[in-house]
Amino acid sequence: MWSRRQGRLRPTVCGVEELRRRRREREAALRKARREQQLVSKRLLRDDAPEEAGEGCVAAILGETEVQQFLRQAQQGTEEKEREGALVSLRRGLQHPETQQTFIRLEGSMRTLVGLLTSNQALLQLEAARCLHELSHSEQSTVAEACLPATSYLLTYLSGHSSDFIELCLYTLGNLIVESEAVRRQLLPQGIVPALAACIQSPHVAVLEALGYALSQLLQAEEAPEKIIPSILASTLPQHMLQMLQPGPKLNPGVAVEFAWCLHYIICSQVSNPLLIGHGALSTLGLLLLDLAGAVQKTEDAGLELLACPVLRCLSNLLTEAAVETVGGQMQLRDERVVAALFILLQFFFQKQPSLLPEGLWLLNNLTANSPSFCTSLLSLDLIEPLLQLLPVSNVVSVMVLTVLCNIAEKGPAYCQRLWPGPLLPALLHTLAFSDTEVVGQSLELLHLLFLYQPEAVQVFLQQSGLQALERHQEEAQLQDRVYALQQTALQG
Amino acid sequence: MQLPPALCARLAAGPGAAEPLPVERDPAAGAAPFHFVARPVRFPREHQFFEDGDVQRHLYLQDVIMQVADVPEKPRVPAFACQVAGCCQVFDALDDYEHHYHTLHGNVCSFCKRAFPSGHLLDAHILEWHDSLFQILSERQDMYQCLVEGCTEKFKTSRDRKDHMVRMHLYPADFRFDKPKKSRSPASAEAPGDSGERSEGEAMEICSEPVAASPAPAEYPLPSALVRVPLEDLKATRRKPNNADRLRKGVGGSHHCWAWHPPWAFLRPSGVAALGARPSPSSPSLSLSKWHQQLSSEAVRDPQILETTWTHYWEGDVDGLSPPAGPTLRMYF
Repeated sequence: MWSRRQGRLRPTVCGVEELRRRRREREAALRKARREQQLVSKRLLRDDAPEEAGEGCVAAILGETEVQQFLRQAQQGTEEKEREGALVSLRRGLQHPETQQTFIRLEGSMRTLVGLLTSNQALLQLEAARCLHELSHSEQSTVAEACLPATSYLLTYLSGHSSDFIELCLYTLGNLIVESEAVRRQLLPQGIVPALAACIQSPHVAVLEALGYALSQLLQAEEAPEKIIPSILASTLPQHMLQMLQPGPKLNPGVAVEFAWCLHYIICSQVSNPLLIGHGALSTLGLLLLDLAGAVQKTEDAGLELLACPVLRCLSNLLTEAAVETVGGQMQLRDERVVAALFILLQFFFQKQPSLLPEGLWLLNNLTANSPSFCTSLLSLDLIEPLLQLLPVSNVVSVMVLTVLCNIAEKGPAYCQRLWPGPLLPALLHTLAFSDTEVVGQSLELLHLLFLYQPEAVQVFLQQSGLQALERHQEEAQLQDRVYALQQTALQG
Repeated sequence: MQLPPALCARLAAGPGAAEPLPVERDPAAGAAPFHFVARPVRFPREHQFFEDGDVQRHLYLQDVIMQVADVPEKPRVPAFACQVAGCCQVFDALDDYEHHYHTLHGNVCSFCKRAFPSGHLLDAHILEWHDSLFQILSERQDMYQCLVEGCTEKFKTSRDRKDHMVRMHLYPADFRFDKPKKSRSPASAEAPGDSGERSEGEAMEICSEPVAASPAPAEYPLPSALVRVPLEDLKATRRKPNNADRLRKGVGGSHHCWAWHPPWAFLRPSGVAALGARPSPSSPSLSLSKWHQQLSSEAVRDPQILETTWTHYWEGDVDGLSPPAGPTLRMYF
């Protein structure tokens, strides 16, 4: 995936600073969109930056006559090169929103384009598909909806054999899917799910990546949990998706990223997760996690977090299913290598992508909450100290670290004995100095468990000015009762 | 964040689960004011927890989409021609050739040389256009399969199937890969905008155009069950008894191509209705059309008529005018 994409990267004329600035802007725009639940909006897919003159030619806006002329030349020209050239010129023009509007307002234009798309002239077909792809990018829903007459053909071509063409059709479909519910309302009865289920058997990596993209867009739709996900779960798509995620020599990172995100959208919609567990999702994802941890150690390659993130999410959410117990799913994930792998990934996130630490810790919580075995692993593999090293990162991370520690401590004296003496108490005294109520609250819970199961810790706590640390919070409404209770325990103990 | 050195070794070693330490909970643990309970946490789709990861995902997608829109520079090679017999296209890029091959030579009907975008559509075409057994069976049961991948509905006629595809699957009414068999127009690539053709869904129809020298064999591919000769020989075979000429002589220079209708046209009630109900301008004598009607009503009862009717023509027993009496027909089988 990465090498292919890099091959296609246009040479950039911007400096590094400029790139960073633009990336920050894009990130801010995406964050805002996510909060407004508009993240699937296609306008965010196309970078709004002005066109870099990479190819050395600037596309001009085409007027009505020119569009008509190109269409006529493409349809009726005598020389094939001439016809192809006309479509190339049209495509360049269609990069401009004004040309797109002109095009859709012209009577019969889409009809002609669809005719060229379905003609027997292969190269005309390809250029017509590229024009359609340009149109599908439009931020205006009128333009994208004008592409609706082509969708039945795009779907038909998915069962063809020309991989570049199929790839283009898939990206076009993906863009159209994102656009509006009207488009999806047409694509579903037109059989997009069976078409994708047939196409997913293609051996071409580029096709699979494009398919994963289109599918992920379909799954992100607002109406997906009710209208789309059930038919996807009823098809053979889930089995194929899991196959693409199996570690081994055939695993392609770009393809795996797409299908991992698809799985995430399905799983977090909670439509029928036991079905996925039945297909072996837990086992596959667990093995993939191990594989990722191995890869992270070997290579400096950026981008592995793109795959790690959805895998962590899928595992975490799946572990909350009751079916995990009954189907023996928990057995599939009793392997303590999962914990080792997770910590290797946490270290990787700590260095490269700290914003993903909460997601890793979420999985750790779900692994340890009801599992004495995993709690024991954390102790026997000496992972408490590394865990504590994450405390200063952020308040969210602190709360989650403390929660995991509570998961261990609440299992009783045998566990608390291994938590103390050690770095835990000093760390707790440190977190008690935080101002965040949630962090302090969780610290108090942990202290309570520690005092209960390991009473010797109380003395050390007092010696290290624990009471003063507690006093800071005795006025805080959410903390008072617990602070008081702990003060009593400490003084009596 | 420092990891213990033994951790990587643990990862590389085999699977295994730690023997859990004994669990022993004290009820005081969960006593008020403390409320911690160990529990797995679930986050739904839109939860804010996912914000950071989602933003990273979309930043990545933006880069991908930008790059997909780029048309890659095609590596050029010395010009070469397509090797398929009869194709004279020349290429200077392998990707172009690959696409050409798949489009034009990939799923091609060996009977009529039409190209289809997928094996699925090709199979449906061969079945419906070139298989006599299909024609026979379709009289008795619904045989026209919906063309949408994954839909298992079947229909009595291609018209019904088209209606289903339009209504249920929101397909366009002029979907290019569901054209009904045409009687006269040349077998060229479907030109854009040719939806102005006549009836859809009817297998064969009367055409009132002048008969050309002889219809291109591609238009009347004989059912394989009937004539087991290669397509090339079919041309010769067809020309020998020139029934068209005979008919023309018999009915005073009419331009009909009835003689050239594959006999199964008569088996189809709707097709026959077309014959009977829509006589062409220079229609023959009434007796001929009546004979056709009679023939069809006999034919519907027994599919054997298929072979017999054709034989009937070949032996030149038809003088083109007077219909044989009903019982005579039965002599043939």
